Parts: sequence; C-alpha cells; structure tokens
Amino acid sequence: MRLIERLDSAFTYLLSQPRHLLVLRLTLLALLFYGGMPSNLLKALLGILCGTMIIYTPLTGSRFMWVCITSVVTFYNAFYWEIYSNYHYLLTYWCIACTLAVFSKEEDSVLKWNARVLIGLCFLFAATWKIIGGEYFDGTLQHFLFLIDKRIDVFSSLLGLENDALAQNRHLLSVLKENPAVGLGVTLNSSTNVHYLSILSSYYTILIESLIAVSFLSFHVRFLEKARDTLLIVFIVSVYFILPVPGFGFIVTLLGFAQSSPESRKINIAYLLLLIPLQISTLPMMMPKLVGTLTSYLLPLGV
Amino acid sequence: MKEISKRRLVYYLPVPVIVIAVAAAQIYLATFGMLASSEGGGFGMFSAIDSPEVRLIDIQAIDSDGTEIDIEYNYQGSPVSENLIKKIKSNPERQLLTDFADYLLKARYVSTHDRKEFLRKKIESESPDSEWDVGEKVTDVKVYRFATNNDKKELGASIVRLNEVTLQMWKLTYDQSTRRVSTEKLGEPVVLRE
Repeated sequence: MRLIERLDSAFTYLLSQPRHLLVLRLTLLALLFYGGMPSNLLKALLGILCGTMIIYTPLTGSRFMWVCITSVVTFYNAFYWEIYSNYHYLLTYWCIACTLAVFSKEEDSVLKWNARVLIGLCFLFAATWKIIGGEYFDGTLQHFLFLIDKRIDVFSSLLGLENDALAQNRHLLSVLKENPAVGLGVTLNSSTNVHYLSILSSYYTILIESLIAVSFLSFHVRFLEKARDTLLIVFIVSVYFILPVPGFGFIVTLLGFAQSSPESRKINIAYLLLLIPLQISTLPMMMPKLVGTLTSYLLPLGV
Repeated sequence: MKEISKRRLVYYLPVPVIVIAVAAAQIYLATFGMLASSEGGGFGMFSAIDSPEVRLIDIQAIDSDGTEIDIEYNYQGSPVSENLIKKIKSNPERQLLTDFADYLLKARYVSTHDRKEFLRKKIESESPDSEWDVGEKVTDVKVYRFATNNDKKELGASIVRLNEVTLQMWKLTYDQSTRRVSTEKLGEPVVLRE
C-alpha cells in the first residue's frame, strides 16, 4: 500500500508542474534516447544540451534552444531521409510542434492539438499502407514475420513450431540472402496454427490502427473522441510489448500524453507509466550488445 | 475546428501540412519508384515484406585477368559505410548504384575464402539435416574483400583490380500458400567497365 501511495504522490508531483514543461521535458528525454544523430560527437552534444534543458527550468522552454535543436534534427532528417526510421520523422515533426508551442502564448493548446493530429495522421498513413500493400488481408506479411523474426517467434513456439524449425528458417534465409542471383528458393517450416495467428493479428492491426486514425482525426464524433485514449493505450500495450520498437513506442506514448486532457488523471498516469516498461521490454534484446561493448572495453585492460 | 479557426493558424497548420506533404511524396516514390514502403517518412513500416532488410545487392565482378570473383563489402572494418548500404537498399536509384559501382571498380581487393566451401561449411555447421546441395547451383568463385594499406604493403602481388563490375538489386518474395521464399530482380543491372 505504501508503494502505491508513494507512486501516487510521485505522479502528483510530476503532474503538478506546468503541463507544457512536462511535455517538453519528456520530448527532450526522447531526443536524448532516440535523437538519431549520425556521429558519437553529435549524439554527445545533443545529450548534453537536452540534459541541461531538462534540469535547468529556464532553458526548458527557451525559444532559442528549441530553434537550435529543431534545426539540427530537421537538417539531419532531411539529409538522411532515405535511411531515417519513421519514428525519427515523428520526433522531428514533434520538435517542430514544440518550437511552435514555445513561440505561442498558448503552449498547452498548441502541443495538444499538434500531438493529436500527428497521432491521427501517423496511424492513417500506417493503415493506408497496410491496406494498399495487399499483404495483410491474407496474413502474408505477419506469417513471414512469425516464421523468421526472432523478436516474435516465441508465439510460433507456443503454437507448436519447434525452436529448431524456427532457427532453420532463419538459417535458410541467410543462405538465400548470400546467393540471390543463383535462382534458389527455400521453403520455410510452419504450422496451421501459425497461419491462423497471422490472419488474426493482421486484421487486428488494421482494425485498431484504422480506429485510432479515425478517433484522433474526427473532431465531431463524440464517442470516438472519448475512446481515443483507450484505443491508443490498448494499441501500445498489445503491439509494442510484443514487438518491441522502443523508439516508436516512446514517441507515440509521449504524444498520447501530450494530447490527453489534464483532467483525466488516470489516463495521464497510464501514459506516464507506460513509458518505463516500454524501455525495459527492450532490455533482453539489448543485453548481448551491452555485454559485447563492455567486454570490448574491459578486455584490453586485462580485466 | 471552430476553436482553431479563431486562433493563429501559424501554430496549428505547419505540422500537419508537412506530414501530409512528406507522406504524399513518399507514397509517390514508393509506388512509382523503388523506395521501400517502410522508408521515407510515409509510415509504411510493417506494411510489406519488401523492406531494406530483405533487399540484396548482388555484385558480380571480373578481375583484370578475366576471372569472375565475388566481392564482400559488408563486414566489420569495410570502407563501405552501413549508411551507404542502407541508402542503396532503401532507394536503389540508378545514379546511386552507378556511383557505388564506380567506387568498387576503382578499389583494390585481396582474396579471403572460397564461396562454395564457405557455404558448405556454414550449412553443415548450422543445419546438418539440411537437404541442400550447394554444389548444384553455386559456382565456385573466390571471395574478395577490400585491400587495406597493410595488405598493399605486405601482399603487393596478390592485390586484385577489377575490369568489370555488375550491380543488381534483388528482393525476397514470399508465397504463403507454398511457404516458399525466393528472390526477384529489383530494377535493371548497372554495368561498369574499366
């Protein structure tokens, strides 16, 4: 009980600060983790800049600082437009929105409106691509992913496909990738249950993404407006915890928080709470990389 | 919307306008060009199998003696950056492929291993039960990597130059009914000669 009380008072403290400052701080945190700078030097510089702005309140809403950050992020996004991930784009758009907000006299309202439209458009285009891509209605893409993607093959295992069969799928694919020109083909191991799961998850994804798009972009349909936070939270929990995409997860959750009503305390806390496990869910994947990096530093020292 | 119209649009309109403009351009480039649907800011992630991860760059090279060799370009310490590879795979424009082919033609190489043997060992070690016979289709060519300054000093004579290079993009396709993954050409090949 004491833990719950402490958590409750921590959230009360967090939510008691001016809302736009909290949103800007969370955005700076997103930039710190997912800024996507092309070199270590730029990453360090952006990190120092964001860290200082998070801690030192007069700088958090500084117009000059936001113009600088947004200019740098936008420049690199434009320069590396073919290789930057979609969440980098989303973060760039959001930085532009934050900069517009600090120049306006109605920060909360500008942030709220831009966050809502950004989520709506992002999900609208995501659902559109899935529909025009044509690989969702018969579950082709999901089936392929369930058979070869290590991040989600646990579901294929649970549905009866042996780990060896999944490992062999990945191996066959890697051999095929090494020899694209010789006209080889490989047949992947699968099961009927995995096929059904693929179809189910495909339709679920299209349905929830479309509903989120409509609920965030409709300004006159009351019941959809009311349901939008619930839909987004269900999406975040059901998708990002299964297929960890920490960058996208963090930014979408941040946008969800920014557009939610300050009066909806439970919704606000739900968004803030989601930010933490979303990052932790990627730890198992990051561990080998972390260990590898640490080892590469320690081995030359003879540790 | 009524509320917004009363306010200053300059704070509310730029972001959605930029998002729609970028996404429209991305949809155009991915539909009529070779941009992968998952790239370019159109939010097409996880919408199709075709993505940079399943696009492949096939390099066919002929050395100055007229022998066909294989070039390995994606390894730790390679002078070809990860960003360039990802850029080519995301949007394999002809000019980009030509520039890459030109770079490969001017570079120097040293031999690393034998492709057929390499593949046989890989299959034997990772999938001993596999019914694959590498000998049927894979030609036995030597694999080369970029020569370093050290290689140039120590191996002077065994450094190889290219006479001709052909770049062809491929992508993986998946037929769910047969569960078969195969390769399909993506665009026309780029051929450069010394």
